[in-house]
Amino acid sequence: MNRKGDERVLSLYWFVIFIIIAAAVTGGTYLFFSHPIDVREVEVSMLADRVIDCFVERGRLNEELLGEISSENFEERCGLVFGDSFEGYKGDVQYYVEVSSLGNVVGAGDDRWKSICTEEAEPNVPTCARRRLMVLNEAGDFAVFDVLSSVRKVEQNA
Amino acid sequence: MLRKGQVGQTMTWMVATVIIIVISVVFLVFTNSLAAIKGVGFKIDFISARDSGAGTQQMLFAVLDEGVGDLVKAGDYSGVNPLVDSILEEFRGNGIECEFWVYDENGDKRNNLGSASGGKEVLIEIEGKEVWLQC
Repeated sequence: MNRKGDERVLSLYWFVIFIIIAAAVTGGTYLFFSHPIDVREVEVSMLADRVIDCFVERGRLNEELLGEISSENFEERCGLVFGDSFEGYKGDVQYYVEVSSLGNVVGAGDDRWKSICTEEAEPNVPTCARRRLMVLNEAGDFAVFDVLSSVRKVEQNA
Repeated sequence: MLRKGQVGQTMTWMVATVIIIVISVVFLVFTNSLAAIKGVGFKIDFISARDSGAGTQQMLFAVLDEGVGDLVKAGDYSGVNPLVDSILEEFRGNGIECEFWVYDENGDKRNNLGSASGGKEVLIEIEGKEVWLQC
C-alpha cells in the first residue's frame, strides 16, 4: 500500500477545495460591495428641501427673491452647486431645479431630462422629486409653491 | 493500479468537489442578486427619506400664522375648527390633502380635521400644546 502517496493526493485535493471556497468568498464579497448604491431618491429629496428653505421662511414666501432669481444666479442665491466633480462627469451639471409660484417659473441646471425623470430611482433614468406646498405671500394669502428637483447621474448608478 | 476501495474514494472526492462548486456558484448568484436590491445599510426607509417633512413644516408655520397659532395659544379650540377647515379646504382645492390635530397641555387630542393619505407628520410646540400637520 502506498499510504504516503495517498496523503499527498489528499492534501492537494484539500488545497484545491480551499482555493475554490476562498475564490467564492472573495468573489461574493467583491460583487456585493462593488455594486453601486442608488441614493438619488434621497439626493433629490434633499435638493428639494434646500430649494424650499431658500424660498420659504417660517411659512412665508420670499417674493423679493422669487422676482430677482434667474437661472444664472440660482446657485449663488440658494447656496447650491450643480456641477459634479465625480471623475466621470468632470464638473458637468447633473442637477436641475425648477420653482414656480405666483406666475413665476424659474429653472436652473440642465433641463434636458426633466420630462423623462421618474420619482423612483431606476437605472439609466434620471430621478426627480416634485413638491407642492401652500405658503403665505406678502399679502398674507395662501399661494401654491411648486418645486421640481432632478438628479441625472445615470452612469454612476447604471 | 487502482483498487476497488480507491475508486470509491476518488468518486466521493469528485462528488464532494462538484457539490462545493455548486454551493459556491449559488452563493455568488445569491450575493449578486442581493447586491442589486440593497439600500443604504439595508435599513433606510426610502419612503420617509423621500419626504423629510420640510415642506409640511413650512405649511404648518403658514397655518399657524393665519391666526390658528393665537387661537391654540389662547386655548380656543372651538375657534380653531372653522379656520383650519377653510384652510384645509383651500389646500384640497390645490391638490394637497392634509390632516391637522392638536394635543392640549393634558395630552388630549383636539381639532382632528382633514385627512392625509400619507406624508410626514410634523409638529410645532406652542406653550405646552402640540400642533401637528400631516400632508
